[in-house]
Amino acid sequence: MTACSCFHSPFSRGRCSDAVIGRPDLDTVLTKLHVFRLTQYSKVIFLDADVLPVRPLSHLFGLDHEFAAVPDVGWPDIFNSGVMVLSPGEDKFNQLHDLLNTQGSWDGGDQGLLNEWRGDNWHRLRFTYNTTPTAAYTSVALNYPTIFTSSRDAEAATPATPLLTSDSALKYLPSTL
Amino acid sequence: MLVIVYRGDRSRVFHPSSHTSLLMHAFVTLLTSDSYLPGALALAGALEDVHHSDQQVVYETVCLVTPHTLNVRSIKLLRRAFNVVIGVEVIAQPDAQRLALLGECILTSRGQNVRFSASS
Repeated sequence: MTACSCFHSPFSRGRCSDAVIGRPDLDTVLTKLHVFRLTQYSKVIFLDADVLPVRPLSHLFGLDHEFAAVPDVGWPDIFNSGVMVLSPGEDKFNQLHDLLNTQGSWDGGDQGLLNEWRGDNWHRLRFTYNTTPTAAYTSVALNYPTIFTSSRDAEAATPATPLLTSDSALKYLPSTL
Repeated sequence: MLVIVYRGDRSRVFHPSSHTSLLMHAFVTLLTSDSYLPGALALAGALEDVHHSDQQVVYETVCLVTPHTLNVRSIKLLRRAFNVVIGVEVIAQPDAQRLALLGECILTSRGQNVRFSASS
């Protein structure tokens, strides 16, 4: 994880579009916490919208662990919150909500808050369940689907990125899109 | 705070009378911006593809959406791809400046300044 060194620009908001920023979704990622309120399900596999499964994942529904995820590639002591196997609970949502309002999220997103909440109390899944994008792993995952279970593309919405424009992903999209 | 539940058009859903003893499982994702719609649709399609031969596992596919930040057309397409589409309220980031730790460029929602990453 690279700390961001920033400078302030005199540009007004009107001159900077979401396309320039590139990640207009980042201020809404905490909305993900709603997944803990889906108490009609005993077990949920949460996948970010930029995850592309390439092998079956449904066996993870049988995990005994209450919470499981994959180490983050940039900071392996914590888990990446793009793929999570969890048991919903209204009490868990309330705990997270309270934590958000008292301490906040140390990275500003859901991943910091969720890691603060779990501490070391999470089951580590193999890296192949969440091959977060690096130049090597993303393409390797698509070439070797028997090894990797899911691959990610943090810029899924960008047409030029290789993952979503690959045949393996394009076939799922309506032609009108 | 769960405000709207759209029942999807997909057929792989539970029949309560015959599955009441089964635990309910779900694949869940979240869409808050139209720009990630292709990702969500590809995810739904890929989940169906990779589990096509595995009819023993019963699950639903769920997409959480924020109707306030999405085009209606996106929600209509999601309803075709997922079993269930659930509208939720945005949980806003109380301290948007901490997003800088993610190494991203951010546009603060309240300030007048645009911040750019200069670390590349």
